[in-house]
Amino acid sequence: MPDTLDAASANAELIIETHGLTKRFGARTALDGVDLRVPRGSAFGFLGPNGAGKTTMIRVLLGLTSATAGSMRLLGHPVPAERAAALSRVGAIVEEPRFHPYLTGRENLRIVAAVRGPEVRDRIDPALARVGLSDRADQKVKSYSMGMRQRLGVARCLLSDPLLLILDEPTNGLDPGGIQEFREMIRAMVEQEGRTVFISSHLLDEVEKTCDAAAIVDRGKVVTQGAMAELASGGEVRHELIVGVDDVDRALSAIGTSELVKDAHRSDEGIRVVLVGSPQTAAQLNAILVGAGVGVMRLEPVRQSLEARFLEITARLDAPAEREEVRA
Amino acid sequence: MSATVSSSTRSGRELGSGGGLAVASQMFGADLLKLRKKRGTLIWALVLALGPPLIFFAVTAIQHASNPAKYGPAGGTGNFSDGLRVIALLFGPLAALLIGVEAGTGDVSVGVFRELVVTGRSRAALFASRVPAALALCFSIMGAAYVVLLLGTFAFAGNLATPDLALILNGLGFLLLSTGMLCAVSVGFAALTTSKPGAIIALIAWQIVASPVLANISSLGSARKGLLSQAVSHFSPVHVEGGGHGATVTMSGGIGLIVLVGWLVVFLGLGVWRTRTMDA
Repeated sequence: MPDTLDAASANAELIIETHGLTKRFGARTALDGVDLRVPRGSAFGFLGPNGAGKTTMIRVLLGLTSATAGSMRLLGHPVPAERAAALSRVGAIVEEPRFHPYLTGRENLRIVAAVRGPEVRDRIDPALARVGLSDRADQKVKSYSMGMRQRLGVARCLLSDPLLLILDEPTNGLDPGGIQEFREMIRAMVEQEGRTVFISSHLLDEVEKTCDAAAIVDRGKVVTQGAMAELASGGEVRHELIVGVDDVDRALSAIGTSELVKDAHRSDEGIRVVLVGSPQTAAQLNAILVGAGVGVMRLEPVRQSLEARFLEITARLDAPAEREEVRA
Repeated sequence: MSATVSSSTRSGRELGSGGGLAVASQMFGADLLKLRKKRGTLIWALVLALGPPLIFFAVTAIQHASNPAKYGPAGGTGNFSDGLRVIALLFGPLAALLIGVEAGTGDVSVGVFRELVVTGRSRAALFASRVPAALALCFSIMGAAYVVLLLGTFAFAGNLATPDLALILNGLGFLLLSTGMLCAVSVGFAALTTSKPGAIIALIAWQIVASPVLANISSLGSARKGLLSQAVSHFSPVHVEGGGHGATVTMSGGIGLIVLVGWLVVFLGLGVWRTRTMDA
């Protein structure tokens, strides 16, 4: 992991922290009092529909445009007051990575390395190797595919030996193989290298598969944020099982009185059971059913869907507006 | 929150101010790399700078060979002066402005500017490194053009007198001053407009149309001393009347210098202001 850190970066538990961050473009409010807390060492999704304010948020964080109101910290540094110190350990891809097309991949990295500092030049070759572009590094970028440009963009981020990577819609334009590869690279950066990755996306599935925690943003506001499982269940951690049995009635009577079970009801798949305790109680439930002479064919945890939660939230936000329209 | 602020220290890796000469040198090298690899701009600049003296000597040498009684040798001091005027006042500045505009808008036009801003490096530093890089490329090309001019001057001199060392050095200085000024001003102007085609059209129109026309409007009087071309012409070692800049307005060396510095301060100032304040 990265070399010497300044005190603020080393001590910061929250790698991104904003309070009341607001950005207005004339009469339009793109960010509306955003309070965001991104913990160190996680893959954090910034999830929202197109036009929700995701890219504006990233642009404000990186100082590409100024905030209208509010405060923020990156790596413990107040921004914009200590923007340079904060960004020295941040790598970012905003929208799509841009390059000088007439230069080679390596030359493009040399340009950013020169701007970052003398020690950074030595990181060019390892960064190219890390993203699998060593063989194509001396070809002009205009001959690169979209996927290769994305990878070169990540290599450019790695030049700063980043504590924080900010990636804006990183899988746009990638084929399924590329998306899978990208996801694995992000997980490796978080789990093996201890970096924090902040991913903005409108793709629920992508965020769900890649991230540990997320914030859902809509119309410039952070609607909710937290660990992925909490978000999907709306804050309530719910352990639900689908149980496939040979005799549903006998199974329901066997587990109906069990203190392990909060709720059990018949469903298309057999029985849906909400457990009181941890997922490990599923084994005890299985023992009860077997003890009652019920044949158990299937015992499967129900995955709480972030998509369902996301749609629930955005539908709730839409409702007042729709009501207003009806009134009008 | 305030506790964290107080514990923040400025590390040696901070980009806004640190790095010194090593960083400046690397940034200069990076900007020069971008410019010299931009083939279209480089080729046009070479054509504009080297083409005119090559054509000038080729034509006058052929004329002299075909009719020596009517046409004198292509070289010598007189033709050196003509060639210097052509390079330093007509075509060299066009080459210089192409380079300056490319330096001023290159990063913005392909969207790389924001990739540089997110490094944390100050925007003023990003702007500042473009100027010496543009000048370095401009001076290299002008140096080559001047070598062509000198080769022609001496090779085709025949029985004519050739320039002495003082004139050669003054001529070089004047060429670099004339083209360097326009190159630097173009960097600032292009950064201000952020539009490459717009900046090129506006600067060419200014250089070859507006500036000579204004110089010819005698009712403007001493206000014409404020024209860049007039201030540059003041430092010419050869006579420049009719050299493409309209009527020559006389001024002292001090005034000429002040005008040159004024143009640099205004346009580089506007360029750095725009670079610092624009949304990346």
